[in-house]
Amino acid sequence: MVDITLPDEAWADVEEGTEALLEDWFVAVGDRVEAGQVVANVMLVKAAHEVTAPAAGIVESIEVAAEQSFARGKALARLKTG
Amino acid sequence: MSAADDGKTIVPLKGVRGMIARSLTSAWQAPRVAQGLDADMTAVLQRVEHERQATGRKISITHTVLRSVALTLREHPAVNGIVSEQGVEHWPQVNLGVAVNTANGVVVPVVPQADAKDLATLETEVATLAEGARTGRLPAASYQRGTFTVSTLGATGIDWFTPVLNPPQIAILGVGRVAQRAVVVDGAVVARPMMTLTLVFDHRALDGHPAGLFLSAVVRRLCACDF
Repeated sequence: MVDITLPDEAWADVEEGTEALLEDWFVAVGDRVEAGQVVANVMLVKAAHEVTAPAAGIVESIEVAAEQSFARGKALARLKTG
Repeated sequence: MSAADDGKTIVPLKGVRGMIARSLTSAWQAPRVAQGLDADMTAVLQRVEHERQATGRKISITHTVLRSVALTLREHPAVNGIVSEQGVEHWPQVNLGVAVNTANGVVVPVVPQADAKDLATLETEVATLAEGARTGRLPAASYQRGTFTVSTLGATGIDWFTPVLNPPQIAILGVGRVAQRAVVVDGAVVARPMMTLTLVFDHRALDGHPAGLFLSAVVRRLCACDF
């Protein structure tokens, strides 16, 4: 199982307590994704980020729904790999 | 952006547009007050021309306003800061937000410790931030920790406007165009290049009297080229 997250680089120097907003999912539970595939759009403050799958696999669960906010390090979705 | 069958264009409140919408909705909760003052820009225009020639940089009125505001905020700490859950926070650093128009909407990157930076440095930093904002490459942290915002719309040809607060900051300054107007100087009506500054502030955090003293001091400093 691998977590899909918004990478730490995006959170560099961001104020404590800041949350990001998950705008759109491009995949759903059960979808197969490739490593590096863009799976979601996220806004952090006024910066837009494309979230990519860290590995190939099948989306096992969505942990943060579209239009929900989330904190640093939070798993956005879980991938079943291998 | 998408076109509906009836010819309407729909811009979803997503991405930067969505963040703008949420931020301004939150700002609208604050009981705000606007105060305005006209500045005679005769000396500033000369100074800008001089600075351009001396430095070879694209120094503009905006940079003189930023510098004047930053220096004046240092002397008026009640205007410099944010409203948080803890209360009104007056910050020792002057971190100036500068409103930048982009294809996706207005965003406000921050010049940290702006009161320690001269006109040429401000020009360089604002240009870099504006370019980064327009290309969407600025990291999220570049939009944080602002303690005051300056929004300039002079290039659009408007005389004045009341900006909406940039939460959680206490105050924001709206800057209009420079235009020749009839003013009274030493009892005579003369034409002078004038610019209107409009301060909008959160009355929960700041009262009219100190706000007025701050705005007067900004204009006095600007007009005297004391920056």
